[in-house]
Amino acid sequence: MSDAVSADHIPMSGQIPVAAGAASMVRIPVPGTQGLAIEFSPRGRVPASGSTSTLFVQDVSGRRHLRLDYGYNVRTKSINYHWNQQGTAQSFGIQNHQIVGSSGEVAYHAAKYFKWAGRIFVIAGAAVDIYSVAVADKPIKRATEVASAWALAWVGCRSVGAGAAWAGSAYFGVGSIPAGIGGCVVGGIGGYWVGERTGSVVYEWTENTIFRRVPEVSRP
Amino acid sequence: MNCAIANEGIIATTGTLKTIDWELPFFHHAEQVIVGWRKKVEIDSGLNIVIAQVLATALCEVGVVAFLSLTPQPFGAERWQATCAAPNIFQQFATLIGWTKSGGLPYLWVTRDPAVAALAFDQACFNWSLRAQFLLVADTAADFEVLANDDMLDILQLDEKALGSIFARTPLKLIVSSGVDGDVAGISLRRDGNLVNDIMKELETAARQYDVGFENVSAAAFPERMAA
Repeated sequence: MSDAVSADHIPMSGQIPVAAGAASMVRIPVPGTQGLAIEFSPRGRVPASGSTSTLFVQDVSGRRHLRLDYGYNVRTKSINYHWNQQGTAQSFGIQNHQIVGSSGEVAYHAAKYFKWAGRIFVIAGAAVDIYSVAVADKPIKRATEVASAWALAWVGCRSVGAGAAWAGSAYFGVGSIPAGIGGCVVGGIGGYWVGERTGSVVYEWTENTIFRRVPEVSRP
Repeated sequence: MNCAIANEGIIATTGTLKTIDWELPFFHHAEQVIVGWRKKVEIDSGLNIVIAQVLATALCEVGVVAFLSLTPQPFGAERWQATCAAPNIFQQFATLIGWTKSGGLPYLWVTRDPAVAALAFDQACFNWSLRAQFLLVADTAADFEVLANDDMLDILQLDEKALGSIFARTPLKLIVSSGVDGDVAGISLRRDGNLVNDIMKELETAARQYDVGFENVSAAAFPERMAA
């Protein structure tokens, strides 16, 4: 049993919290919508009282957007959960002030809490990864793994999220939103795992590679 | 005179709309006009081009209009008046309003050209329907240069306590804020004789100019007319 590895020997990793939280911070592209992406905050200035919307599919300027909103709806003369949109009707088939059902209400609150919970996850993941570097036998190696993991987690989150959003929109209009967020989490986990191992392989390769000066010879 | 609105038009009230949260700032010691609109086709949020032009034309008749933009006002062309304040003011704006995503600093555009003022309702990162834009109106362009940093910050942050005396402290005549979903505009005016009547008259004139309806309704009737 001398080869047994105890829990103390398994490197700590921020893989899960980073991947789970990345979707709250990454712009998840929605293919086929001319530059729209899923986000949890509006683009540009936010009024002092805060935004009444929690889920956004918007372009980089915020001009074109679809957002899930709660507040007074001038068309129904009541306070309700509804969509507001500008320039995205063709992509999603949703009109301004369109009321959402109970699933929309759930999505509104889920987005509201995920925005902050996700950021806390990412910070927790960063703390775990920094700690893992600090206590590692080979801190440079572990730092290489972590840097590579974070980079590929970001790439995985965006690319798999975009693919899932595309597939979701093919199934039903706003299905691209939950699909994109779910894809982003899965892509983040996969990207982190691949990045961590890639970083390790690259480090091992460079560490075991010996460079020697070639002796100078005279020209024949 | 009220023109009945068949499809598209402006709905205005000078009453106090306290029964509904229109998400408008409340200015103490100021008068208030609330303007809504109906569009022929209700697909997109915010204002369509015609409604934006009506509002811009009415405001430019009352005074010089200033609004926030991501880009500096172009120099050179005669119709543009570039009166951006010192950059440090806007750096403070960016910091205090938590404006972090657009990668630049806001600029103040100043104009009396309705075509330019109408651009206020379609500014990147200061989206009207997200309640991120506001318009200021004063007698001259120079009035905006004398605004103190604190006054501008009070306006940007819609600090209701400080805004109580904003019209006493500054040369501003009125402030236009975006209300719920950008469906209404709240016009807060200096208590100054006929200013309320002036803006109502200019709105009606501009509506007629652009061939859209205009209704001056009571506060009680306003939500009904907006929903109709």
